Amino acid sequence: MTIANGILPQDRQIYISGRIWHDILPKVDFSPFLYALHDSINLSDFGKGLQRYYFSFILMPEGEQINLPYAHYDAERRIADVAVSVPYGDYEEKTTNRILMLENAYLQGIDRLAALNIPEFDVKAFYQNVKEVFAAEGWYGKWLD
Amino acid sequence: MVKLPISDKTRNIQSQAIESNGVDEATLEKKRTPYHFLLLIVCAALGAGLWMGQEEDSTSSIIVLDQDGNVELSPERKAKLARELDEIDNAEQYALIAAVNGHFPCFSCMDGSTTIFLKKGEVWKYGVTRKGEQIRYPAGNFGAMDLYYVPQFKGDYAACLKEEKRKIYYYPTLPEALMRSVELIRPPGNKTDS
Repeated sequence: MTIANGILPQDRQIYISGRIWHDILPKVDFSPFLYALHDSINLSDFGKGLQRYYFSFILMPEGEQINLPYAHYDAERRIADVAVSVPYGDYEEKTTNRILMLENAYLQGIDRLAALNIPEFDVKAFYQNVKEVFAAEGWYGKWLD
Repeated sequence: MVKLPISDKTRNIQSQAIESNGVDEATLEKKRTPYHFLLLIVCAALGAGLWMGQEEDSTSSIIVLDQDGNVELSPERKAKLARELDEIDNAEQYALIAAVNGHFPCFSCMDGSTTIFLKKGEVWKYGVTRKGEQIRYPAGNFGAMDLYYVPQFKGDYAACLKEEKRKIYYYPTLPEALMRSVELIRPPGNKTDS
């Protein structure tokens, strides 16, 4: 997967976004996830069932009513769309390593994929592959600009 | 047996078919009729279904009588109203911010450019959404990819619309907009001032 001059191609397999409360935005940067996963993961290695995977981190204070977690799969277009909440208070207070919290949220998203019963797609292998990306020493810093 | 009228044009075409294929009119009529009869049955079935549907709607009342005999909205209608009022009261004004350096669609570029380069963290668009509108953004697509959805203000719908409008108008005064060589009247992702 190529990243030319630090610019990701428009058409790719893995997309990452976030629903982030403005107060905490300065403490958030998901871009290393975008680059690392685009560089290391090829969804077709795990089967034909998933062509595109959209994932959103939700970082909203407690009591949020609009931006809620979800998980959808479009069998016709072979697209999955998952959003997982990251504990806002813990992230803000940095009670746990923030990157670790984000990694766990992303892996939780893959767990939710498993519940969608996507045909012809090895979710376990995908999960394992992503876990290996996150296990690499200094992976996040490598992709920070 | 119902015989449907045939236009002159159709009759001419059929006559030509008879001449070229050696098929007589009686045989053609026999072939045509079953299809017309089938079409009639389908239409009758559809009509019956529509009529039954209307009958069903008219029997489920939208108003009821309470224990004192006063007219009230049905519980279902009340619940729907409460839900929709709640959605109007729970709105948010948001910004769509570039998650990475890259090219994004530009709807406000006055030099005719269709894309603009944004740095990570720069504003692409301001908008307003209400509770229950999450479906507006399927597959993480907010109108472009690689954007963060950043709620900036929460309140009722009118207050959020005002906030959005203020931010759209004041966009040219943002440091990121002032640094650009091309002046934008509003964020690149906003097609209009509202």
